Amino acid sequence: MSRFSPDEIDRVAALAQLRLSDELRDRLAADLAQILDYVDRLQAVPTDGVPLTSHIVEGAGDLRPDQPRPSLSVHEALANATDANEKAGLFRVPRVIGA
Amino acid sequence: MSALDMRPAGALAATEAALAAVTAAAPLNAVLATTEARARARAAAIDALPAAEREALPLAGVPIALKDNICARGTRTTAGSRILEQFVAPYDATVVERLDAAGAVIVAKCNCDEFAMGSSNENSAYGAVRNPWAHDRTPGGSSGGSAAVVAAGVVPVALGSDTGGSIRQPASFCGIVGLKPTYGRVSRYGLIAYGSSLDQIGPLTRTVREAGHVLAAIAGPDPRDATTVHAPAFEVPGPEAPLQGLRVGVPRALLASGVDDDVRHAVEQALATMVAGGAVLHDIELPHAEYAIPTYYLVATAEASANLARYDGVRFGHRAPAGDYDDLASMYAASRSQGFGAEVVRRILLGTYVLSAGYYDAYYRKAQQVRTLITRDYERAFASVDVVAMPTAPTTAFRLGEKVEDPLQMYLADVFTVSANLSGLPAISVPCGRDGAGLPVGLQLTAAAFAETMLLRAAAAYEDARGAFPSPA
Repeated sequence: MSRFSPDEIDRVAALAQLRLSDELRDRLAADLAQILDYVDRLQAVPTDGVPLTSHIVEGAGDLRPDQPRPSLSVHEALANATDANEKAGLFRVPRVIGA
Repeated sequence: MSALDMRPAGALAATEAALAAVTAAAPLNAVLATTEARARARAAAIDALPAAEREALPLAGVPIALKDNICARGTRTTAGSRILEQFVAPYDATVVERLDAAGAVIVAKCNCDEFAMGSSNENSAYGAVRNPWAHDRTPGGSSGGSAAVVAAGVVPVALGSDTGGSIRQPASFCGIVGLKPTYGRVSRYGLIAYGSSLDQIGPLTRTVREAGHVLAAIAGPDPRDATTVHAPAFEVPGPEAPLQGLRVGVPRALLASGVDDDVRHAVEQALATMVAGGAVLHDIELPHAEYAIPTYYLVATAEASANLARYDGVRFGHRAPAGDYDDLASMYAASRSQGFGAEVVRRILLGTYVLSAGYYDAYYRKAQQVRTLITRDYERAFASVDVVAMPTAPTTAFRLGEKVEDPLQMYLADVFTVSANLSGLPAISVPCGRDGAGLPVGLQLTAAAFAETMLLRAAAAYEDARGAFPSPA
């Protein structure tokens, strides 16, 4: 169960933009180690020259013409935001430039 | 009009009855919201139509419940997550538009595992759903609320989504029919994404033909979902569906271990029923099926980690209170960590890890290769059989709390269902018996891609030979 050090879990959590409590970090390290031990059985399957599945059905992937058409109004698009400036039509976030 | 007509005499009366039944079924915790205003307006409009126009609507007045990861304009849509507790969908999913156009009336949004991640409904931020057959049991997951309301007779139809078995397994646990269409058959526009190469919307109903009629209403290409295809239309079985000559593949090796005796017995009985009606059994090999679970949990979590990156507290969803962060990056992390439940965090981390530098080839790339081998096994099988039969789940409905502390044990419950998602194939669960405790067992049939005509015909033929299946007391 030492497959994941606390640092390793924190590295993955940072990639995923997640913050873990100490308790959750320990629990997840154990869970992920157990799950990865299980999925390691895939390594026994010979796959030399086997293509990756990229599309599972034939004929998919038709793209529609890129034409302007009606969409959500600014009001509707902002309606679910915690912090928006409807007058300016903007979502508000902590300062990024010059922070 | 066929003998299977699902349409009620009056749409508004049926809507009121369904809304009252939702209230009466409150102990199941299967419904997160009702859509009364929308439902009553729609039902009244249908009742006001001239008879000929009403007759032309295949689902006129049929009350339908939606899994809460399907957007319906103006209704709260949580996907079972705290992070979407305040989210009100600003548009209709394509399936909702199509149900509306067919005359159906959407009455309720159903509880589900958070972001459709789970096999027991215990991962919902709004509490577990109870199985109508036994309230201390899981209804299955992740479409557990959808299955419970149909099994309890609240509505005749619910929609679910199936990424690794999330329509079929709860249908099996609740004693109803659950259909996962071929990948590409039904648009996912307006479905909250989990694993985009696997997700498919489908119906949960009491009978196979009803599932077919609902699928006919929602299927078809959609310019807003580029994975939908111009597939040939399929036929819903008529009153006569013969078993005579049906070639049924049985993967004996896969069923040799890890299946409860009662489930095995019920499935063997179902196969015997099919043989008595003239079907022919063929032993088949699916040599890579034993790798389906690890393959699925690598592919699904990798895709989930990307899909769930959109929940950042900016455009929609929970944002952490101002005191909990000091810049944009910590706002993202605080909002996400407060909004996601434990299983969602577990899957995001697993998916992020398997896609990260140094691990991609060993995990994700390998899984996508094994996925190809799993698909080839099925293609080989369908050269000589019409459908493949096996249990939907290795057990009947287990007790709430029984597996929730052991994620790997929970994942293994999906052993028979994930292959159809990995290969994009249509599959259906049909009730085929009950265990010693009286809990339903599901028979799963799988057909070749876009062979819904064959799948529904075989399932209806079995259902006819089986006879009526009981409802929970």
